[in-house]
Amino acid sequence: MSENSILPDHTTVTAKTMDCDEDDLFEFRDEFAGWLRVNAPGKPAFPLPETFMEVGTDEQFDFLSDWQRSVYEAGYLGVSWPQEYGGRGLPVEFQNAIDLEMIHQNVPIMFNTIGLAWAGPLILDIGSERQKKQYIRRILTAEDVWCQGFSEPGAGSDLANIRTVAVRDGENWRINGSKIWTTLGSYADHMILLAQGDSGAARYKGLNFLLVPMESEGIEVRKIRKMTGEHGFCEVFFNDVFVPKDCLIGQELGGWQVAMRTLTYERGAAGGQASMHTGTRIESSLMIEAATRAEFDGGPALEEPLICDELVRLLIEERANLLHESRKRHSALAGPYPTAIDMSHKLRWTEWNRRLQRLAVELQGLEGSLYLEDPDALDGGAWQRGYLNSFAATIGGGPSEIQSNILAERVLGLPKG
Amino acid sequence: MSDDRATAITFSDEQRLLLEQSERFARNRSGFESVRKRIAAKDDIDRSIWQDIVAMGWANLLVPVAYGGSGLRVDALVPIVESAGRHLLASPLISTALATQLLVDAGSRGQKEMWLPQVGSGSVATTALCEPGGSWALTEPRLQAQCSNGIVRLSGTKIHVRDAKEAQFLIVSAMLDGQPALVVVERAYLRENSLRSQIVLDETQRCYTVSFEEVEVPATMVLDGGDVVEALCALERTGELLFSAEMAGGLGGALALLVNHLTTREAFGGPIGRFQALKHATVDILLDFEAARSLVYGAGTTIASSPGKAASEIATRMAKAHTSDAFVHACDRTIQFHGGLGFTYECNAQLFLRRAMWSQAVFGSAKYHRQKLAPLLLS
Repeated sequence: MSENSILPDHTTVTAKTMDCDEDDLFEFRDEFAGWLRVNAPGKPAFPLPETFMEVGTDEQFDFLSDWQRSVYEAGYLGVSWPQEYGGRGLPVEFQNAIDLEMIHQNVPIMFNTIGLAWAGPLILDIGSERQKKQYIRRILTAEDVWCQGFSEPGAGSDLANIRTVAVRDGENWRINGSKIWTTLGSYADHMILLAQGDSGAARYKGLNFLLVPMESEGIEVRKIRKMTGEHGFCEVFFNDVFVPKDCLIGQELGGWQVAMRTLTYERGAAGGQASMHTGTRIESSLMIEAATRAEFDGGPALEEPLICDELVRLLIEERANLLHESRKRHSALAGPYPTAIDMSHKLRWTEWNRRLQRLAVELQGLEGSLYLEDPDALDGGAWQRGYLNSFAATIGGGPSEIQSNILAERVLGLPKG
Repeated sequence: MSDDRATAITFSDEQRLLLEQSERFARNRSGFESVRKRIAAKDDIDRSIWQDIVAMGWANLLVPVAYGGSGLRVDALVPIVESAGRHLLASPLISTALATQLLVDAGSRGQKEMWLPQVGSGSVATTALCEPGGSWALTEPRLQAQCSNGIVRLSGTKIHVRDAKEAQFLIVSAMLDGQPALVVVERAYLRENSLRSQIVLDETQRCYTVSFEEVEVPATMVLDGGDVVEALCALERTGELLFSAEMAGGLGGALALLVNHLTTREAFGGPIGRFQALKHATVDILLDFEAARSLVYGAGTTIASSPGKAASEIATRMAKAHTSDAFVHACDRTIQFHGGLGFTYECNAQLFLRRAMWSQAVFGSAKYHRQKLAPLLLS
């Protein structure tokens, strides 16, 4: 397994592909669409975060917690998770259908992403019975919010190079070091933490993976100001933090394998992610609607042929990305690169989103120079903020260039550099 | 984008079998050596390949059951044409399929009975729709037809008539009494020396200008069983779909050639595929290839479920817009990454580039289709 990439070898992934009737799916999605039309919350007076990485104020946090809980209580969150821990036990396609409809209706996000998409599936997959009972349902209800402690100031894409340590100390783990780019760090109840053990083994062979309560003594959280001017990320410091022995998940010194495993849930392994409505992408229809209100060089933006051409390009790309989800269910149409669609998911959507948002700013012409809260800014400057924020997704979770390396090596079989 | 059924792909067991069968056939029968043999044969087609295609029933797929065919929809041809494209296998299959569709859509019962069974028994047919000036919109032909005393007299020239030399009959678009019409011209009615072989970029193609000056055919040859404008619009969609499918295949073939080169060619002490500058550009091609396949099979599903004109038009134009740009780009990079060898006639990369440039010009280039898509998508 590669030490400088963060995706697992595709040969080890056992994605759960369950046959399910397309008509059942459409019907389920229709039912959910109807529920959303009645129950989706109206726009609050304050600006809502566009992605789970932008939650910066208490009112945003409270609003999104309430919204997530109401979706769960109506039976539409974690539908592919086991019933005994709070899910509905349906095929993962049903959760995907929900996510697509949420994106389509542009409702607020399911913000507890680290819990829903990473920690939850991981605990369900390899956690102890106690951990499943303690954590899973509270992730869905947003009673427990989770954050992730992977990146460090000196280790981003080169994740195996982390310096934070978690070593045995009697019945506890003692943690020292710091983590950075911790989304929701100031609100989180728990963190999934990757740290060096005390084996002295090099890099990825000596890591521990822990579930850490954020209320532990010795943890200090500092907010980081982003280029948008807002808050959202944190830096987290560990100064002789003690957590109980059973916070370990997976094997001792097997943390790298656990981290790799968390990356398979996007493909539906072990019930998949409970929601990917994380706000890291939008539908183009929203942007086109905004474009109809934009003026470019004294006339309607949508009468500019060059702008239309770029928009059409993005719409074709969006259509292809949506069609991929259907094509990959036909194994006969998956070759000759059967893992390409899944493994490129993040790269395709985040880069598409970044370019869409950038065009949304340019097509505003002179007004594209305005920013948040200027009274003349189109949609309050939301597209400008959206473009600046889009980098969170093209950089976070393995930047696009690393994703390309992974695809070149794992999908096309090109040699390592 | 809101209609999730527009983004669903259906793929039947029948299509799966056709995909497997055609991939095997094209791989076995159209290696680079055979492709180069075909090029050397200049004007001729490979008869044995066409006979096998007929024997496997592919020429007969679109012919309705009532006329002795399989009665399948055009999406059944997509996997076959994709496989052919991947291996640069050239045959009159698309030409014949397009002529078949025009007969089915616009012919009367008697006309279908006369010509459709010929297709099933192996006759090559083609369409003569493009004219000097190169308009991709097919519904307003300028070639003139005049009818008197039961005789139709044609006047004008068609260009880019694929496989005309082999065709037993050509379906020609013309203006008759101020209305677009389709006229079947059997090869016996063509005048001597009316065919000129066009010299085209893709040397595997057989393409002609055809003069219809003073060609006279019985008025019964004018198709009169359906709306001609609708039939021509539907033909544009099918042409876009099939050439997109062939290009998606070709794109995959070029990518395979490129990956093979990057993993075997060594420089600076190892395979050149380890350099990120080449890796990242190749991954872009991979993503283009995946998108091409999804758009093509998506458009096949859409067109076969006849959801209405706009949905079909959006789907096939998107497929043609994407594959036209993506296939040329993939070949362009494949040439570049082959270095000096890529510049030679001997290198097989040029076969794909020439195919790509030929294909982008047929049934509309990327910019043309995006221009047509803008009002469909943005208003």
